[in-house]
Amino acid sequence: MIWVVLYMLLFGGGDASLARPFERVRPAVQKAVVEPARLAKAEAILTQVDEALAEHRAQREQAFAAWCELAKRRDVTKAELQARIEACAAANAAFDARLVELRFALRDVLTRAEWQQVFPAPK
Amino acid sequence: MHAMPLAPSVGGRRLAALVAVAALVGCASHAATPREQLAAAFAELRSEIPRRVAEPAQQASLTALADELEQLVAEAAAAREAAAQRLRALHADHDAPRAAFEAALREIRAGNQRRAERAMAIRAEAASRLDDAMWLEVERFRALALRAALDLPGTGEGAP
Repeated sequence: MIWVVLYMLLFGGGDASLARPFERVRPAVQKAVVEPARLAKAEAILTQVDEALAEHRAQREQAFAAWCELAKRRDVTKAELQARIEACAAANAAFDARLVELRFALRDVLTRAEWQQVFPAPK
Repeated sequence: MHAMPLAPSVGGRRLAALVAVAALVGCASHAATPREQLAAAFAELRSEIPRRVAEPAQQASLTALADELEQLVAEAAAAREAAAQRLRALHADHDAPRAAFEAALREIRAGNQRRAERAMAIRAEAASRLDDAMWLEVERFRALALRAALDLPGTGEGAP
């Protein structure tokens, strides 16, 4: 349904954008950070990122299923849709806040040069 | 409001095709770009309207609805990609302050909320125009759309 597609475009991806830079980044961190103690800290943060992302995906799957059930009903009210959208937005906001927190925690562990090596500026 | 006079089976397939193509927004592995595929699907939908609806006013309102929906889907896809680029650039900036992230996320959410409001309005209009048979026919393709939507790149399913 087009409403499901719209839902994904509005609430399924934009917020997960914060997670994108972290994906598949562990090898780059392992290569960039040679000091064992700092590397251990960085890896612990990346593990927290992985956990947050897994939790968010699970929540999103549930929210998506609930959305689909709601959206297929022709008689669904605006209030019902609004409540669902607000719930999804709140879950996404909590995920965003967590990832921002972890992003700054990782930044505090890596040097500027290491950061630029791991997260090169987009072209 | 009259029920949409499209034959359910034909109209359902048209809408299903539209949904399937719209769900592919962002995929770049086909010959036509996602934008081109989307435009083609909506063009097909629009061309079907005068073949199925005799009354000019009804044709015009259905066409306008299709136009609005196409624009909204395109806007949502573009905004999603712009948000991803903005956040990626911020993330790469070692000196980016926390406030910059918070401001960017606030703006992204506000845009999504505005588009959600428009989507709800269009949906309400569509619900008033589709008859029960048509609505159920479209629903048959829910699983396909669901799968396709989940495969959209950048939805957190492993896409960079």
